[in-house]
Amino acid sequence: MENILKQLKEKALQEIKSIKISEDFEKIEKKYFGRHGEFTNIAKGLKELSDTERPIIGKLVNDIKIEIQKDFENMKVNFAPEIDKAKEFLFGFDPTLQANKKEIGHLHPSTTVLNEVVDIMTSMGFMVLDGPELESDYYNFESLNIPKTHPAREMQDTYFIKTDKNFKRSEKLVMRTQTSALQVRTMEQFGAPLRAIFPGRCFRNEATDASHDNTFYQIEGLFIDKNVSISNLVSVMNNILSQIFKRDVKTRLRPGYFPFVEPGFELDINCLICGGNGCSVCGDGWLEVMPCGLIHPHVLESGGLNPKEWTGFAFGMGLTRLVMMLYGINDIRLLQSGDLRFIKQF
Amino acid sequence: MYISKKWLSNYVEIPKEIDAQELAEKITKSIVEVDNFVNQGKELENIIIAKIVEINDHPNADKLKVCQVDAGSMGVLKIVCGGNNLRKNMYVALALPGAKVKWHGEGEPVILEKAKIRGVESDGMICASEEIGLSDSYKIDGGIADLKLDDSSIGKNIADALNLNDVIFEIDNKSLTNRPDLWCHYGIARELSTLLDVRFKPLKFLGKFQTKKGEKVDVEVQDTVGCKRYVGVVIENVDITESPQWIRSYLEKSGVRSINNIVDITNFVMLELGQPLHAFDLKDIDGGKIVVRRARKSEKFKTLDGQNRVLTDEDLLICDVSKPIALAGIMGGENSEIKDSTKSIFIESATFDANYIRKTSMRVGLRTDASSRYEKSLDPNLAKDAILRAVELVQQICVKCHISGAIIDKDFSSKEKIVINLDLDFVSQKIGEQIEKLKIVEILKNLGFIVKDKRKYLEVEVPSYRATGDIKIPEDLVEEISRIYGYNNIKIQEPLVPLKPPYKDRFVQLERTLKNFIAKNLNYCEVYNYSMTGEEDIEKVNGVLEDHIEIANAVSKNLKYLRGSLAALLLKNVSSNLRYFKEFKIFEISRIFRKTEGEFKISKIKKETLPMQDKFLGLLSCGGNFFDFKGDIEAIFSSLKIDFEIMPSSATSDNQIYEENKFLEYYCHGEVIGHFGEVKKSVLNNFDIEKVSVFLGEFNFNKIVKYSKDSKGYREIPKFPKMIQDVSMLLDYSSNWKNIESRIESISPLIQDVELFDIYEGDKIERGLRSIAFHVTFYDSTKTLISDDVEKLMTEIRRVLVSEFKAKIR
Repeated sequence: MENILKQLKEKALQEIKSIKISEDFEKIEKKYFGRHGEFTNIAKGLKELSDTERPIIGKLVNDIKIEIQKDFENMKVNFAPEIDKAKEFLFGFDPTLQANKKEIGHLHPSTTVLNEVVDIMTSMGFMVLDGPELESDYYNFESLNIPKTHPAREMQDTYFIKTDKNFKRSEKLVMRTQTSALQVRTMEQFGAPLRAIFPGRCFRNEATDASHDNTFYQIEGLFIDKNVSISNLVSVMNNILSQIFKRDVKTRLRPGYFPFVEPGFELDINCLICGGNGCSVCGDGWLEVMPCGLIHPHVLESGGLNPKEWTGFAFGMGLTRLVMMLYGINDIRLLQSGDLRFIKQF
Repeated sequence: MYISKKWLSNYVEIPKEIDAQELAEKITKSIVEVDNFVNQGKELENIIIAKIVEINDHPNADKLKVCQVDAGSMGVLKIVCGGNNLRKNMYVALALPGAKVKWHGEGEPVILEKAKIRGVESDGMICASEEIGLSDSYKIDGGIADLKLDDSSIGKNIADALNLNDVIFEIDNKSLTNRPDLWCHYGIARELSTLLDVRFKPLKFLGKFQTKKGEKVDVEVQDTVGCKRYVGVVIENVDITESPQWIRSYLEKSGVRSINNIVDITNFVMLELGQPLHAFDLKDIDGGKIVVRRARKSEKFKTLDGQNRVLTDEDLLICDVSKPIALAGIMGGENSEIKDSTKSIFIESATFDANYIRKTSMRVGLRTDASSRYEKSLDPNLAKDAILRAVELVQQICVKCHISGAIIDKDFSSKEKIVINLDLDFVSQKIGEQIEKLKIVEILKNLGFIVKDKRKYLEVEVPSYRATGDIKIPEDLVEEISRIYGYNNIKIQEPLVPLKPPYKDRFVQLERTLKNFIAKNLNYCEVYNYSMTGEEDIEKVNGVLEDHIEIANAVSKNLKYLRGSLAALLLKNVSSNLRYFKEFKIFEISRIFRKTEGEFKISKIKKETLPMQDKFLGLLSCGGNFFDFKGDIEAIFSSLKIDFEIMPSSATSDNQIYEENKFLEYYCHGEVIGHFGEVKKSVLNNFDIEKVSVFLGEFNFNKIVKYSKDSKGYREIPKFPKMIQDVSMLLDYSSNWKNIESRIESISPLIQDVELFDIYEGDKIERGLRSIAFHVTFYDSTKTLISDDVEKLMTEIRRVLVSEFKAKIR
């Protein structure tokens, strides 16, 4: 008897929970508490029980009844019917009632911006490649004309991988600090002429704050052909940036030092906010967006290309910074936070 | 680094019409990045020098005074002030309405207005030095500084009175990495003269000077790789005093604290020429001998800052016969510093090797003005010039001093010149524009290169201050020519390239397709998680720590390992999002790292590979149910046309996180491509996830790419009717549906589909049994089926179910 009662209780509570339209309240009330309702019937049957059983079961029936009715009333008070658009309203239809919410998926903003950049680059004949994030010292540094003594190799910038007798390689292993690590791999695989970009995740061993993270994304570009000049570089950069920012950007080239290019440049664009007059974001009207330069002859040699025959330029875009700029995101850490309040906005 | 415009003007005449803004821009565009500049005069507008003539108590406030001040042409003004050290006849900084003032030296500056303070009108404000941004030398703790001027400065603007109407440029040190010659005023002035096309006024270094016989110091250089040149001089009878105002003011502009006249001179020469100098108290140099040697292992040395440094045998020390007295190129020692009592000094001007200094500086965690110059590689010729300059200044400031003996000079540097043959066509090709030979020669000569015209090419000799690694090949000269010519003057020209569509990388393309499908068709949100993780997270998902690749120099223990699975961080995403969302679906495609062999070669010639770092697809559903989640996974596979098999499998280390019997592994051609299941309650508890079911799947994306197909083609739309029959049966709960389904399908090619539509367990049937009902679809692509044929097949199906699966057909 006790078991039957408990099952009945679970069933009733379950049904109350799943009430969708207000008519159901009446039905359920009738089903359990009406003249022929299930609890009414049990109550009627109490008199057939023995004197010892009757008070115990009687009390149980009563307790359950009170509990269910409490739940029932709660549900009734807080009831908000699901709006069924197909349902005819008794007194006129109100099409302005809010729509039923649909859960849809969202791509990460970095993925979306990357896709835009990839489309632009592909349309200009650049192939898109992917590569290792855990790199050898050779591809990340040595092949890029970064000598053993360059500050970028020092402990505070690079994550080094620990090796031991069970896990070792003939090269030092690092987490790549730049997508440039793919330059020489790409030259080895595809030779010249070559137009390619390689987007990807990079790592720097540094403290994080709103504008620095130990993990970020870059898009490296490589253009190799015969007689490639600074003048060509500026032209291609201007075209790419105008497409990305969907306006005619003004650019400015200034000296910048990167061991794998010579000459090396920092490329600035006129500020998105003030247009180049100077504001609190840019300071002097210019935003640094793209380090670039003519590929150093040593790097071409590392890639198996004869620098007397082939020339080219390389450029790097901070994808993470670009995303922050385009959406006005002020904390870099949000991008790796997995916070759906953030992701669902894109 | 701070560069003063006034200081630059000692060596180059900057045309008046070029204002600070324009100069900063020119430097940025052709030399190095100017981070910021401060126009000192502008910041100090409406602030004048006034003299206090009378001090009275404020009628309504105990702590305030009412002063009458002489403001020159403005007459006598009434000022309310809270300074507790005000005296009559003090010369003070008086801010008038309109001046920019920082209250108590903090926050953003505000524009001062005329105000009533506790009922008394005040015509302005007497400022403490921090309130108007004066440097530390004018600072007095908790009070108003007496500027110690004279009556002639009353009423004058403070910038004029204190000689502060300068422009200070802040140079981005990072953009000077390859230019040791620019770490000083002289070097920047040299570049500016070329850039602005104005005359450079070179310093004339002392030629002959008087010496006297006196104390002597011998120099022995034991490590001539670490120390390429060591120049020194002994100067006796110096008085250690405060420096004259002009030196102090120069140091202040560069943000260097004034110590005493000798130390200030060494710093002045460094800021002027870029060569670090060090002055020792001669009486602390035992045995009259300097030895430059490597430190011994674990040798200890106390630097000027009072810190005990433990050294290694890679560090370079300056020693006397009995003890170390300086950590070479980085910092002097406490035991030999210049004191008020110092009478004779030894000045060192040396060229230390950049790598030695960088390594030591990193290891001991000490970067100084000297070390940051040395680590860029200095010109050995500079060492001699700098000491001559220092001697000149010491003679000028300590008039009674005398130079003892000749200058000591131990020079081991290479005297070989760098000569580059520069082909003019090469220059035009690299720049993309023809630049006249005359122009090229002029630019190079102005920058200090010696140029010989060999008709077909130019023979260019690199000056020693550019020959320390910066300029070696013709490409380096292209940079020199084009930056001075002006990068932004180069005409823009589109490159000519073959019109060919780019190669499409399947891996890259599928990643994009898959991300779109999962987000847009299956409604998952994409997350990016870090590649690094900690021991704690690995343990939470029952991972094996030893299988994880370790970072050698992780700063935090939470970033010590590379993740070998996506699970832990996806589960962390769940616990952080559960506060705001009840149910959600997320995914990630990211590399994971393992110690096994991977796909990428370590270098072109070696057979070795980098560790495994395949991309993995992680899917997670918080809430929902097992079969909905399974439906998502199989939709992904079918969208990529992957033929897969599922196998309920035994537990391995990979699937330790799933509830027992509630997980599956997916295979393609016998190879595991991933697994999914319901995450164990105990694992969820590790992440503080409660009262919700979580389903997780991890799939190797590299293998998804391998087994995906883009087959095109279609199957004809059925021409003949299908027949559908239902079967209902009771089965032992341990039998598994996958086997039944594939067995039935194997009976005849006419059986097109077997689809489960009801499953029941409960009171109405015997315990341990399960009621299962399914549709069987029959189709023949060649004709309309007849019921007899179907009935025969149905009989066979029933027979198989009874005999092979012990089913009871209902």
